[in-house]
Amino acid sequence: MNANNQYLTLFANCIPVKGASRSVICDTQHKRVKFIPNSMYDWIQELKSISIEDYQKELNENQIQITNDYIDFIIQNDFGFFCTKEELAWFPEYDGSYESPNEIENAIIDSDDSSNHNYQKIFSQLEQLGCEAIQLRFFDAIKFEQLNKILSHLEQSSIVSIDLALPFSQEWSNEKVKDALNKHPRIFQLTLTSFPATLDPYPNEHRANLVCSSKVIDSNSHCGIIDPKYFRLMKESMIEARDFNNCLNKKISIDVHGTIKNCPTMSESFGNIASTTLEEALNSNGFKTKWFIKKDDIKICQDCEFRYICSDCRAYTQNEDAYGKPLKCNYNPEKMEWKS
Amino acid sequence: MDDTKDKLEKLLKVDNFNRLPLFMENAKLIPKKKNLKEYKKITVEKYGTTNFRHTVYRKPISTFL
Ligand code: SF4
Ligand code: SF4
Repeated sequence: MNANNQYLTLFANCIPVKGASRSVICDTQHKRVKFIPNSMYDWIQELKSISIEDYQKELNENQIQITNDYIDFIIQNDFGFFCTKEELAWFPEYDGSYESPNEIENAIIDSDDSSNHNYQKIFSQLEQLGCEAIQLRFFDAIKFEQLNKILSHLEQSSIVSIDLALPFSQEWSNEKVKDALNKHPRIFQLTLTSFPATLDPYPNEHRANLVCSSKVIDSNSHCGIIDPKYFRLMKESMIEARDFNNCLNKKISIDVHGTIKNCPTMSESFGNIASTTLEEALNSNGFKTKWFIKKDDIKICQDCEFRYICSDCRAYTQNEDAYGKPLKCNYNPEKMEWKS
Repeated sequence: MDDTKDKLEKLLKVDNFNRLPLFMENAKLIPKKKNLKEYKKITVEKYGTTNFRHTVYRKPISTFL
């Protein structure tokens, strides 16, 4: 195709993000991230309003060659397409802000041997708030029957996604795991922690994701890890991250003592589930404050090319600053390096 | 071209994020008579799925491993 009198535009679901030293194109449909130089990011922005031919008029031969390479990169990677000026108007960029009809989107409920949660009551309150996804983190061993009993309260529930993390014990044979996953199709992920190094990990062959980890997770202090494996290449979550905190927005949590919090690791309490409803906690002063700390407000993250696909943590931050970079992040956007 | 534009607008209404080269292909390469069924077929040939609009939104709730 003769591209010269054409415009080049990116698909709305391929979102470029500029960092301190390089940029990325996040393809939220095909779940790919490709690095590009910042100069290419700027070029993409300029091409929104100028044809390739007009853009290249001002350039020398060398610069034209570079922009031709950029065009090839966009087309070969299927990030964009040529169109005429008239057609350009047909492909508006996504400018929507994040919206959700649910007052709460997800919840964490921690428990250990000292906990005495009334799960039925908690789940019904979460349903009232529209919560669709929960994570149950057990820090002490839990029996198959106990877990069954807890999950049975969700059989008719509008909570459709259940994440479980529980320590391995002899009882949790591969067969038992299979039983649990078959019985409770709403389980989205089951993580067996403290998984013995002497055992082969159980095959991950279920509808739900099964993770066997040797890591000991015996308290909420393990949370807050920043790692590319937690990157979220989803358009909804990228849009959410532009306007809201992408860990705490629309999240509510109950710690092992029944204390209602933004996240179990944080110290600020909004009452105890024994005497306060989740709705009361949600509407109490200050509960939603941290929901609005977005990546663009956070030191260092604001210059990071991963900021809209990365997770966040407000419980562990550099210098305990409310706007500090997550403490457990080892990435340096200036140097483009992950330190181990 | 009007036919194409109508279809395009329909698609944009369904999901602004839909991959649209398909549509550009419709506009440029495929005779106007092609209907959405054929569009789907082409989509499957090119991308292996038409299921772009139904990806489950599920982000990690916490990050401890
Ligand atoms: S704020 Fe940090 S510790 Fe709390 S749930 Fe999020 S990642 Fe975990
Ligand atoms: S600096 Fe670290 S925590 Fe911040 S966005 Fe980049 S990778 Fe994520």
